[in-house]
Amino acid sequence: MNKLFTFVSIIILTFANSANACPVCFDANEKSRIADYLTTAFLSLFPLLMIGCLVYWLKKYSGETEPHSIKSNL
Amino acid sequence: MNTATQVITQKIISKRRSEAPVVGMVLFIIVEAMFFAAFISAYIVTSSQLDPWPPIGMPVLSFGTSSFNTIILLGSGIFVAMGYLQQNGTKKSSNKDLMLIGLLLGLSFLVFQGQEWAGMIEYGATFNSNTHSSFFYLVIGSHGLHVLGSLTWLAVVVYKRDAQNSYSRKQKLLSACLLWYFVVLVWPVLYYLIYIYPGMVVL
Repeated sequence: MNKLFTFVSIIILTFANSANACPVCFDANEKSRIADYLTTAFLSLFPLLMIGCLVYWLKKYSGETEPHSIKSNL
Repeated sequence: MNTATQVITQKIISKRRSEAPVVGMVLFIIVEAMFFAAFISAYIVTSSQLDPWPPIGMPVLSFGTSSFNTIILLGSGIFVAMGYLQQNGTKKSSNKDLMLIGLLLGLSFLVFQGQEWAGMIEYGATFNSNTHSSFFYLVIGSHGLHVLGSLTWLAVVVYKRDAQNSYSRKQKLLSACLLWYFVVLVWPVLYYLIYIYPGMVVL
């Protein structure tokens, strides 16, 4: 498994190149490069933050309607 | 299964079913937040390669008018929140009055936006004029559609007479209010990025 991983890593690193799809890799100023890094970080972390908040909220919300809490209200 | 357990189970099922609109709305708001986050990110990257507003022959908007419009929308959010909080009060009419003021303020925001758009189009700033105006119409237009949709949903929930129990109705109202709060709170971010940051408005 480790040998396969090493082989695949070497292959990937050998053929790695700049992506032409990158909007700021070619002919871009420093400002747009920073903007690209910031928005990439924002779009990567923002969904994770929201999913984390959702899971926390659902856990808290479902805890309020657990059978024992309803039983005590009866 | 004895009767007490059946009653408890039925109560849990009924309560969970009533809460479905709120959970569904929270999920929808998360999707909507990503929708606007994608627009904002694309706009930030693109605008970093552009000159500040205005390009030659393009109009500049009034800071006073657009800020007033922002205050109207924020005021609408406050009135809707007050109306929601007062629903447990003794005066049911006061709850609906506050909601009505909130709805009318939201509608005024849309009318002002329409006027602004009409002025810009008259001046020659269309969707295809330049990158700034394309983003302006795309992002502000998307927000405007969200305002229209959530206002309609809120009005339907507030004024629809249904035979559902009060808990279920409250949950529906909460879900509509949550969408409205989202639409209201996303506006200052868009206002700063689209209007103030590129210099689209002047004092």
